[in-house]
Amino acid sequence: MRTIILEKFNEALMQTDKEKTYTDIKDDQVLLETELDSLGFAILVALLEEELDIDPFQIMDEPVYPKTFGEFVAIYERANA
Amino acid sequence: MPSKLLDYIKLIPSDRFFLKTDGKNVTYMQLYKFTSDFIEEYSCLKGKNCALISQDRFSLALYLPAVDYLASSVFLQANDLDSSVVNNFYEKAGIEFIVTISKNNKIDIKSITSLKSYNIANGWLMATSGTTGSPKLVSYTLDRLISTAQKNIKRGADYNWGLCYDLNRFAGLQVYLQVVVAGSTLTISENDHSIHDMVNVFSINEVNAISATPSFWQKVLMSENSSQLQLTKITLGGEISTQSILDALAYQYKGATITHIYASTEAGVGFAVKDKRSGFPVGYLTENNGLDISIKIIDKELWIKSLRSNTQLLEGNLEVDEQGYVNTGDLVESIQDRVVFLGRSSGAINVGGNKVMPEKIEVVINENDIVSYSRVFGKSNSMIGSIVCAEIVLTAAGKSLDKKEVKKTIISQCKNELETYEVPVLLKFVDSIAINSTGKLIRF
Repeated sequence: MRTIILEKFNEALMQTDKEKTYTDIKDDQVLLETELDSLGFAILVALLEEELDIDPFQIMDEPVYPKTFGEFVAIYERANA
Repeated sequence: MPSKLLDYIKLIPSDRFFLKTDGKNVTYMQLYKFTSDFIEEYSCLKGKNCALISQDRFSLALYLPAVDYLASSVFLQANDLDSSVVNNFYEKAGIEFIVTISKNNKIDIKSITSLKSYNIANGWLMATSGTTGSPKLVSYTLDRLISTAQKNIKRGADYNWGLCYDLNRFAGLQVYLQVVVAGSTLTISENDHSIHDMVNVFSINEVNAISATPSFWQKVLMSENSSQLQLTKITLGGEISTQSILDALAYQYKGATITHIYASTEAGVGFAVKDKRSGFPVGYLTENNGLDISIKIIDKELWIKSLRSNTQLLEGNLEVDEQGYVNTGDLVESIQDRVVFLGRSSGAINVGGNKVMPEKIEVVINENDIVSYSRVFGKSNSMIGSIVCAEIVLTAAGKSLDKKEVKKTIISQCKNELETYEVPVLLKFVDSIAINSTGKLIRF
């Protein structure tokens, strides 16, 4: 899951014209401090929905938005379990 | 009804706080004194048409009542406008003085030659945000700008609003005016603040009310310190609010009133929904809906009629029926007890507040030799309302190529010719696309 998210994260960065790519993102990386902006996150969620057929933000039991990369991955892992 | 901000300010208990920011506070008494001094010193602006420019939000918030009091009309000039646009606006509005406030509160007043004959209505002038085409100059009267504001001064004491937008933009000005007419407090975060810094300023100053777009709220909720905010009043507007963002806000800020606003620029009216569910109740379609508007659905399109006087500003080519209903151009569907939004009948896609026209993107995609034709549409997205998607029919030559490469080529071409938010996120290659009897693409 982490690998897929990382791949799509970089794809979303590229789609929003950011030059940065990540080879790894630490769990405690604050999402708002990455170069991905609002549109970038929307793209990331859409790319992941295309790949995994899930959008966990539409069906969250506990509707808490992720603050860190680790939390973002955990939301997808829970939804995909 | 008072027509100047100062008339409202006079009514507010003078010990209440008007402005708060990093270490600086201004009470209504101080504001009144400050405004009175300015009026005396700069009486040359009386009855004139003025452009007001400020480097920061705090100064603009402080000087606005004074300039409003003196001037016949005030053009709230945004800092990012091109000089050619500005000059054109000056001419249209018959601007006579340019009042510039620098960060250390130094005032510079410059007189310019104006063509009085071009003078447009008195009041407040602003540039539209211009996400499509060049910005337009729009004018409003104060009465109209505050027509939906809560004006109860007693209740106003309970609210400390956080300012998330520039005051010379509609979203920011509305919050400012709400504060002034109810005697509430405005806490200012400057536009160079990150979301994290903004949330910090708001929580230190005990902000309890914020109005912002769903995309902006998403960023607030993703900010690590967002739980420090103690909000009692949350407003969303400017884009369609998804259930996802409403749920997340309700979960994080338990007990807060959450209102999402539907506004139609076409009909010049809107309404508020407070039950924390996206869309609006089907009960709004009945006559006794308790709103000052009447709503109906014809062929999936939402039509609205204002029950107040018909003085509203109506612009452009409007479709109005015999009973006075205006077609909003919004497509809706009733699902059980709820009316939900599907998009625009023009096919326009709202990507985080930016209007995207599918035809424009289709033209760019179709320029490609390997593309036979395409259909661009919006797909609902839990983060930003909608994102742009495309279905593409490839030519025989295109079909023989590697799909990943074709996708790359098309996206890079779109990136060269379109804004980032217009570039399709998802591309799907299909064998055919539905076309209606007049040869047009079926958009919904």
